[in-house]
Amino acid sequence: MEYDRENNSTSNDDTEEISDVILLMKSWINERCSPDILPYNNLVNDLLEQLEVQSEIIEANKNENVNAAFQNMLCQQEMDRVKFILRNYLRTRLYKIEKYANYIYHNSAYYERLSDKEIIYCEHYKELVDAHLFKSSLETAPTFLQNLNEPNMIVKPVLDEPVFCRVKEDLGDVQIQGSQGTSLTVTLKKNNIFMLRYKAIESFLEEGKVELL
Amino acid sequence: MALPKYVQQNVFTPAEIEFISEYEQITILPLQRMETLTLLEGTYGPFRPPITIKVPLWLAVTLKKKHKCSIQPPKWLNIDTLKKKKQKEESLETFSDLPYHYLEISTILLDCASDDIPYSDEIKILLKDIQEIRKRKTKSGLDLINSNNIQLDNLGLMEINEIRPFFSKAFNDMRKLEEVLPNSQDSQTTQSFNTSRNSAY
Repeated sequence: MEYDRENNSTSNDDTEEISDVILLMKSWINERCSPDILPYNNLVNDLLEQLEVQSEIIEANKNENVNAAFQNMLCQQEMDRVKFILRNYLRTRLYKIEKYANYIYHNSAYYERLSDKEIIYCEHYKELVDAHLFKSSLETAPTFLQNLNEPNMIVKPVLDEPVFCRVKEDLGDVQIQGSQGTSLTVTLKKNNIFMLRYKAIESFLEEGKVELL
Repeated sequence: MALPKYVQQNVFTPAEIEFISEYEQITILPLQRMETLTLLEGTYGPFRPPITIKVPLWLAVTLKKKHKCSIQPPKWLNIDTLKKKKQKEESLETFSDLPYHYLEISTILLDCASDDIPYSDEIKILLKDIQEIRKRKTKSGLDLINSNNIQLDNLGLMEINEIRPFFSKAFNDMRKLEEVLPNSQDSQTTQSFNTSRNSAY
């Protein structure tokens, strides 16, 4: 990811390069399809800055001529598209954060996957929900029933959920975990599409060797 | 609620899928001169007729609607190729290798640029046929569902999205059943192990 991004900023006019927008769109698709929260994509901040710059350029070219007006319209259209991806990406993450707030709160490993703002959001959300539950009902319950953090009360991501994925490079025979702890071998070739347990391809997804669909 | 209810089940809406497919590159023939266009996703142009140029589909559609370009249909979107694909689709059990976004791209193009595609009416019928055959195949593939892995090569995003809710539900239900039901050949010890593990959740 880092490598791609650096390459891209230096040679922007090469359309063969994968642009930030496309990379973010892939992150958005992966995020939408995975049952777990994926690491935060820092491209969000870069793109927000780029959007700012682009809108300044549009503003500057506003009263040029008919051609410039048309180009501005196209730029505006693209900005709207990028904003849609950004919003949907962040909203998808917020949805998962709200769902798993309690779990994230107790797992510091998850903090690394969230942005600073998301961590603040998660903590505030959990505190608010806890406070609300306490005020509305738990207050009057016996003390031993007031605990909200019992292990089986915490909603956590189900990593056994099925996902659809496409293999991006030949990975050969891979051992995946099947039902009841049995393992089975699957041959993952480039461009194959599979429906598998998320757990089975989690590590490949992290390395960018598969993408979710 | 951060996300509307209908998209919370890992499903995309058809509009979103169309949106995703609009980032595919397509060749256009500009009809007017236009200077280089600097967009966030890349730089396109300068547009100098009659030099063809590759642009994302959404840009091509916008230009087409303003009568500023004509679209060159992709290689697979012609009557001969599609006839061959249909034959292949009929004779083989597997899905033929149509592009990942074939359904979305062809729908968008036939909608806004049917004058650029020769025999567009016949192509529409062919695509409809192919779609039907493929749908039938996915339906007959239902008995392949298991709780480990299913291979679905060459399926398009729209088709995947269509079967996703049902396949995921079946997959999950079978997984849960298998977790509770021990294998018939398993000994008593594994059984007790499994039940204890399940009660922990």
